Amino acid sequence: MKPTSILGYIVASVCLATTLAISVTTNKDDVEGFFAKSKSKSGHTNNWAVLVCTSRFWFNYRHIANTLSMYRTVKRLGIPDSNIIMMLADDVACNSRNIFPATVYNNRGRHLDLYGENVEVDYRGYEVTVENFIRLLTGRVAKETPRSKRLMTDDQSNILIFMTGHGGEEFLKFQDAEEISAYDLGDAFQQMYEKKRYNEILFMIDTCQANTMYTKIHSPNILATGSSKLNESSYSHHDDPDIGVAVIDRFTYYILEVLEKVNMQSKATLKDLFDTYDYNLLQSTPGVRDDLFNRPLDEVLLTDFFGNVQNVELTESKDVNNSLTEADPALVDSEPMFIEDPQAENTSSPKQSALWRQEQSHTFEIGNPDQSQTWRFVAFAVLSVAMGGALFAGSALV
Amino acid sequence: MRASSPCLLLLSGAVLTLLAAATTITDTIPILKAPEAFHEQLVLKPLNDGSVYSHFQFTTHIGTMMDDDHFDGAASNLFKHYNLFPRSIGQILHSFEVEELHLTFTQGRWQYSDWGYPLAPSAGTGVELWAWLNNDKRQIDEHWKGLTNTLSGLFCASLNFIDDTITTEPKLSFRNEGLYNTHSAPYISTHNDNNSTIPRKLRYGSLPHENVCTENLTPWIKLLPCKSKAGIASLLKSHKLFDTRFYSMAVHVRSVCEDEKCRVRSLELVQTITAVFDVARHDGSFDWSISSLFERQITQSCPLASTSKVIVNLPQTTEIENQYSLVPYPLQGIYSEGSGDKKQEVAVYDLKETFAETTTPFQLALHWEGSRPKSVRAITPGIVAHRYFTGFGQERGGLAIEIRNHDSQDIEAVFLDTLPWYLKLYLHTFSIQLNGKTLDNQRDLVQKMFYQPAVDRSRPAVLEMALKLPADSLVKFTVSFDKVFLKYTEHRPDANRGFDVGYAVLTAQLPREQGQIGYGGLDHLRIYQEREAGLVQGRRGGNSNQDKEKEGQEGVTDKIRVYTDTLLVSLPTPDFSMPYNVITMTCTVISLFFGSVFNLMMRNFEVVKPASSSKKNGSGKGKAEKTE
Repeated sequence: MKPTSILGYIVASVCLATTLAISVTTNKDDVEGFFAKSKSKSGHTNNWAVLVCTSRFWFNYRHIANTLSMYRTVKRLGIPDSNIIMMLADDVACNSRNIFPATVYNNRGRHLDLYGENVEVDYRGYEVTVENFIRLLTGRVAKETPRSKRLMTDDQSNILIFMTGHGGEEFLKFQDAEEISAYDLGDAFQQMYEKKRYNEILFMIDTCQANTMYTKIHSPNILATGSSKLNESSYSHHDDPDIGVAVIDRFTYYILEVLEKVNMQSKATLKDLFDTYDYNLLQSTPGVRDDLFNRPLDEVLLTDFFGNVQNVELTESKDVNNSLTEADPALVDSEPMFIEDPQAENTSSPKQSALWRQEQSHTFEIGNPDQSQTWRFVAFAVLSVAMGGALFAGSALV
Repeated sequence: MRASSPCLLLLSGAVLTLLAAATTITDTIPILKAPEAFHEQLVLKPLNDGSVYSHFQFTTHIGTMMDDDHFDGAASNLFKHYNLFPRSIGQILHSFEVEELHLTFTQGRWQYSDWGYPLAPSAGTGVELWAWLNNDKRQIDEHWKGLTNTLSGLFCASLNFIDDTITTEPKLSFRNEGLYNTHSAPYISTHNDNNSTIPRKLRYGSLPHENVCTENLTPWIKLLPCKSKAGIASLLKSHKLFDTRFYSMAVHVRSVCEDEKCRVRSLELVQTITAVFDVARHDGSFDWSISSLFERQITQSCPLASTSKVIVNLPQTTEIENQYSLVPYPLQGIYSEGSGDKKQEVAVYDLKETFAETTTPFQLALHWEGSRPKSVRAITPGIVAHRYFTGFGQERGGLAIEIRNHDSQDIEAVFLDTLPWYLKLYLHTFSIQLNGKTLDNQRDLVQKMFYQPAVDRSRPAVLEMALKLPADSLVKFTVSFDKVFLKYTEHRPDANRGFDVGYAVLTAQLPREQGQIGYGGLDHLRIYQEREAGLVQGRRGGNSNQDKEKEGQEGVTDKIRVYTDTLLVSLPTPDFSMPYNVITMTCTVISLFFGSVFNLMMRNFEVVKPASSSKKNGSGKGKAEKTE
């Protein structure tokens, strides 16, 4: 009696395990199709930002304010501190010249303290060097380097690289001591491309003769924009009489004017941003280089680079019986990270959609509540039966 | 039934064995009452010059293994569950086998003569990091490098610059606090770090020019169980904290004894913030309140804290008493310690009790009646050290260190100075002056001396001395050095600013003095708790306990570390555009020289007849012909 009962339990549990395994196993194409669907149009699944201020000394306050403004923007749009690498070559916030200690303002009105109560600076002071910057981009860092100082991107990462400082024809000065040339930058990007360290890059630079900095880039999927053309200076926007120095540069100021209106759900595109460029406001000729970029600019959302928005496909398969968007609009509102892509087309076969539904309930658990609960209940029952069987078999053996 | 009975048997067996094990453990080793505990405390003290000293201290305890044989401190498998103890610190301690860790960020200069000693043990400008590392597997340098880099990532600071050229291993200073640290005095004399079975090594490094700002405070606050959401930590507002005369922020991890014989130990994480507020700067008034200092209020105590206290060391006026009013007056009344000149009154507010009764925010203010009197008792610190450069020019210089002992007895102290390799010390120029007279016999004063000469680009010079400072004396050391001409690339981006030379540290055991801020150092929380317990007992059982306490106070010393100022040395700076000049010049010279010499050497000059020249030779010959 005993051996047969044990055998029976073993057989039963094996059967259960196989049925579970079969139900989870799916066709490879279907899985990839699912992931391709869940990606955004740019094909990225994660966002990173590298924000670099290369200027030291108090009178370059505005460069730090530029960088911190971008930091606040990308953080507001959802990129977490762990995905932002910020390099600040000097500390103006706690500089003894600063009459508003621990603050950095980018406006004479001083409405918004950019430094705030929660800021993470990853490379600061003397650490901001050309070598560290290129090592960061190419990932060739020492093995002790902490995570916060690494750019841990992959081939599905969209990276925003913002640089500001003093520059000239095909170079940008770091700390008034060394320079990065346009060739160095081009080669670093090429190395990143070869190592599959990015999906797309938006390179922005606010410096004198900035447009010369992106002329030597030759790797695909890089979009570049700069504040001024060859032999043109970039100018500061305005100064603050109390702080005593200029607080922001024109190019950054007018970009921020656009970005301030952007939220995570925004459908504004890079073309909208570039269209606002105005020589009369900037007093320099901003440039855009899109020949390496393979998407039309009017289809590239600003949030593809400035935000951390993944377009997760939620509903298509549900349309058949119970549409999530209709049934539960509150969910979409409360979870702005998951926004539906309205332009996505439903080209899937019924079989595929069924599989997606299954996958969806596995991964996101935000589908039909009844359905996911049933699934949980089944899983729980199966597990408890298996556990009970194993326990019983074990005890019977004893 | 068939199934459940063996299970039950198994279970009960396990329970029994566990119980048995537990009882055997309790037989030999007392067990900690709580595996983890968190205490928060704020000490406020109006200083002599009208500024207000504030010291936040957050202590997290975690129980560890018990006696010496089992004790493996921070590196044990203790860190499997994290409730109050921050995981990020626990993981660092675990992966780099750190036994003890002290990290301090400081901005500003602590004014020893005006303010006395701080409660926080470190007050050197910049960043100071020292750690005792487990040296079992001889990976100490690797671990130290990993530790500095990881901490640099955690605290957003350039701690990774603490490399071999900065790191030292002091022989006499910065002893293992974990084993020294206990509130029972006899223990101090019987134990030292040599009796430990685990080989430990000390690593010490400091960065005098490291800025301290919000980005360092942010991760520091994240280590607290209540963050800055509740409790005393809700006062931590960066805009006010960095608008102070002195700001210091530290993380200390050490193991402490929980009983007299040190059989029970716990790992202690102490986080401190020290700030000296200049209250009179804006309106000339010396009145202050918690909301005027911090622009925040305490609306509740941290629910995770076991104790939550605000302690005010009241100003001691010499002439008339009660020239100020403290609002609200503490429920338990004001404690008074010492007598005469050394009398110190202390007001203690227990926030747990306060918020048990009311939900209104905790307010605390001190108002002076009329103007603040000048008769506030002055603080005379026992030992003050001062260090400066002598000499001029960019080739050589000198270093002078003055140590003043105000105490009426001889004091033993350890002096540690670390100088970067680019200052080449000449030890033969080392001289000592006592009260202005050069000493011939240095042995009386310098009892031990340890000197590590610097090695270019790989290690700093270390001068460490065990001193016996005579009573009421001024001791002055002088030593000369040469300045090194650095390579072009070794200069910092702001080379003309000069190079920062870190502070020297003087460690001394001073008799415990009431009224000093540095009363008890990091242990003052324990001292306060014990004293309160003692006071309660004393009330019950007459004055005998207080007498005992007084007797106990006689021999008690506090370890004080005095930090000198950091110095700025200007090294000869090259003209940084020179390389470009040289390149341009060299290229010009080479092209001119090379061109002409090449021409002279390679070309064959011969006289040709005008008629046949173009047929025989190429165009080069044509030129040669022209030159002729």
